[in-house]
Amino acid sequence: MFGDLLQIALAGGLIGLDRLAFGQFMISQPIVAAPLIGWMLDDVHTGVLIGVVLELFWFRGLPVGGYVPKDATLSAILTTGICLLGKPSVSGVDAAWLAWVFLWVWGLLYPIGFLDRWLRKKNARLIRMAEAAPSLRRGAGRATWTGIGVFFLYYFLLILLLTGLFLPFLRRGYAALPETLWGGMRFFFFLLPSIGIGSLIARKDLVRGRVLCTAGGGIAFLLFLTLGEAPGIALVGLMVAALGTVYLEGRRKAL
Amino acid sequence: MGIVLCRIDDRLIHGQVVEGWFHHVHPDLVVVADDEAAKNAFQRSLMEMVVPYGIRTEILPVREAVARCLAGEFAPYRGILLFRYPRDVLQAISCGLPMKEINLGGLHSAGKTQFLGQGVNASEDDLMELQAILDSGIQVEVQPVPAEPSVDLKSLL
Amino acid sequence: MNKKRSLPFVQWIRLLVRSFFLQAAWNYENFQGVGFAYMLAPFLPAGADGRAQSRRYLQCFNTNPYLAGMIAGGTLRLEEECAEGRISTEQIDLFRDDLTGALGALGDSFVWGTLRPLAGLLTVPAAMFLERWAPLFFLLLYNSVTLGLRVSGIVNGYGSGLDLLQYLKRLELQKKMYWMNGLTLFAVGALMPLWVMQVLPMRSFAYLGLCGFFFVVVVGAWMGERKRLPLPLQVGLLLLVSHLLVRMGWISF
Repeated sequence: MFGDLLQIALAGGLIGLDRLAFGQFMISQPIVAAPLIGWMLDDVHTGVLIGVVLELFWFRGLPVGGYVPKDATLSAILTTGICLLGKPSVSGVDAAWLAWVFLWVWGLLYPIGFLDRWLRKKNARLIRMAEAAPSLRRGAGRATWTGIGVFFLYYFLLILLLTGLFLPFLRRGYAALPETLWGGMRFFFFLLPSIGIGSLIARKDLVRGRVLCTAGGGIAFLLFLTLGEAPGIALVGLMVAALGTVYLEGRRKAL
Repeated sequence: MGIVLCRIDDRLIHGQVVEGWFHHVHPDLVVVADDEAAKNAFQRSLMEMVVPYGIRTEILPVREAVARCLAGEFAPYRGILLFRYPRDVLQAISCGLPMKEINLGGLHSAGKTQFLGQGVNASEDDLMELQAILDSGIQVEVQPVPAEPSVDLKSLL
Repeated sequence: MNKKRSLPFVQWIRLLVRSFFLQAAWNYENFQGVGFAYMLAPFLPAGADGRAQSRRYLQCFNTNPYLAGMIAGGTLRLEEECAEGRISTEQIDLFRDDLTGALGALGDSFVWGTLRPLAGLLTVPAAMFLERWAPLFFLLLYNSVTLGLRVSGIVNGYGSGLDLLQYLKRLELQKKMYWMNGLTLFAVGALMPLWVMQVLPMRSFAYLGLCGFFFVVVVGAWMGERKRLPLPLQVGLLLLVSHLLVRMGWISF
């Protein structure tokens, strides 16, 4: 148990580095981070499920300009870690348990946000450190590597502490939860992506009418495809989207 | 249709305008009326690069922008008209641009300034010019992004 | 028109690897300033006054991390030209400040606003069919674009210096974004029935009903976002609605 915890905290520290301090290869996105943690705890399936739901949920919040959004990486690592380390039964993971853990971790992200901003404010020391060195090269190098260490420790300690502290508490709380709430929470977990998708559409509705014809076309395309009566009808959706787009284009060009 | 939003912002086209106001107004034209930017090719191309594809961008000297607006060239569009300083607005008015209200979204004057809103810090000169705009019967609303409530400038002076 | 310039291969790799550290010392005072200095420090022409250089390079620098290499390459080129006495340091700083703002806005909306959600959306169906290989699919998709952007940014930034804008115009990022956004919206539409397919047999009447309901919830979230409904309120509402529906027996979960 403690070995597992230490292992995911170490991995989480490295994954957390990718979010800001090193690389941005997006290993830190939930869709990658959650399956990775799941793989380490022998349940990739649940990891992928959490990864997909959180990836879609965290479509909101972009690091634009100097804005620091809620930490989706921590959300994915903590949710997967707690879910799998503390799963109530041996056979599979209940979506209600996932929803329960997700909600608590998401609530935790608010105080963590303050900590994050505090750390980034404190990081201004690194500038002083760089200035104090005799040459720019040495100073910037020292400050950069210190920053890497700080961010690694930040993620490592947060994951270690929060998972250790919240795991027993969340398990006991879940056991005390009346079973009548479980159904609703399973449904809630399934509906969770809608929030992220909604905010994504809100960012993409710059051209009027485009959402309707393109997304509508997508819905029609897959609906007909999954209904399976005649896959050929799926092309209707594709055509709706294509024709609508061409029409809108033509009208804009006419201006 | 024509110009549906006039705005004073000394950063002209930038993130706040593109992410905020474009989604609110749904424009298909942006006119930047600024003598300085119209001369500077580097800044002009940088600004054009930030505007989403399919939205026509015109960066013109104030006088020419007003002239083309009065000639009805922008009538088929939903346009946003951007000024850098209040004095440019005064110039536009004196050239005959009809205007009912104007949005004040960004002023970063140095020195002694009065705080009018987030990112709106007006100097003495700015305030005098804003007063002149108000005097000519135009309503001035302070509102950096559409998500925030708009405040009538008269209540701030 | 300036002449194109190039560096030895090893230097390109060093510059690229150093560009990964851009945000290691991210702070609210000079944002990526320290990382930018770290990236360029070993390449700057020797002989300049160390203190003055520190002062110039530890200023505020905030842009999109994937396009920072372009600015770094351009700055390096201008520094060399400055050492040759062709331009002044003020010109370099102006060039850098103009570009950070514009490339920040452009890169943020391209990478964070367009590419990342699109790659995520395309990975969801992949996750349904590929299961454990889905993360790899996402990483390949995302990094093939961003790594290309980073490398070509550094090379072209250094190669063209003050003529960087021609290269940027040729990239036509806005046009690419326009079509990627169309694809994103199409994928969003197609994803909804696909997601519902996970829990209900797809030929049933209930499947259609749940698709319709999911669609309504998404539109609700969209409108909530436009009206700036706070996130806790949105999540709370969603929790309430799902609980009530299950309790009333409209849907069994």
